[in-house]
Amino acid sequence: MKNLSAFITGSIFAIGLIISTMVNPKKVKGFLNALDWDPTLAFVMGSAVITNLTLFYFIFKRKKPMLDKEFHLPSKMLIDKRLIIGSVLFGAGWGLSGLCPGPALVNIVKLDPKIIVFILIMTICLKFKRTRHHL
Amino acid sequence: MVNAIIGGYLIAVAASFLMFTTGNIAGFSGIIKRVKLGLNWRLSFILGLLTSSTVTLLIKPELFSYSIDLSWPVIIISALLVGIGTRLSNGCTSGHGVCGLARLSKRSLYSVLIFMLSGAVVATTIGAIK
Repeated sequence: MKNLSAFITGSIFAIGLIISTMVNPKKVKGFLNALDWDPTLAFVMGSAVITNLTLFYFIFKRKKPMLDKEFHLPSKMLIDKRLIIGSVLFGAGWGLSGLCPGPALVNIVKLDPKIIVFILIMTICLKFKRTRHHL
Repeated sequence: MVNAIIGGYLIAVAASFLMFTTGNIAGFSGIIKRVKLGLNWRLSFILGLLTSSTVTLLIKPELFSYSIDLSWPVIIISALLVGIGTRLSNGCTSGHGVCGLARLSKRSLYSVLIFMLSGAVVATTIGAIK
């Protein structure tokens, strides 16, 4: 059941990303360009966060999710160097290409070799075992 | 603009549905980081995403009519930055942005403000040079 639920989630999520044009790197770069600003994605983010704020409020009133014993939420609360440096790097990559992980995955269906290489490199970076030098 | 609001609404409904049923955060970088082969929710999520993207491409190809107009160096550098960055900060636009802000997570608020600012600096600079 959990797998079916996740499958449905992925299906709806993709349609949201496609309809909102969040999958188009040019629209993302336009949103991030202060000198030639395209506000479209501000409406996407605004609509998503307001809807989720409302729905999460009711979901977290429950003791547990429908199909599991507990909610799986990050326990980390600290604003550390890893969070700050990671966010700076991610933002720079996002602003450079206009691609972030979700829209990149949806764009696989375009079968563009550049998207496939992007996902391969990103996945290797995400899955690489943690190295000794901690930030 | 209407499509943007509907799209954002669907993204949130999807994320809330996952939280309500399985108690998990619909964050792409975390899902890609931890996904394994076999029957599990993370792979099911990705398969759902790819299935509905393929169906949409087949019935409404005009929604995919934009081009991926990016050079190889941009693709490679950006993929490294996105992969390493989201690994360090434990989240991207979906996990920290759509879900984290709605959970009122302080870490997510910091992350979103920083990656928006950093993204704006890079995109504006490149836009000005072109």
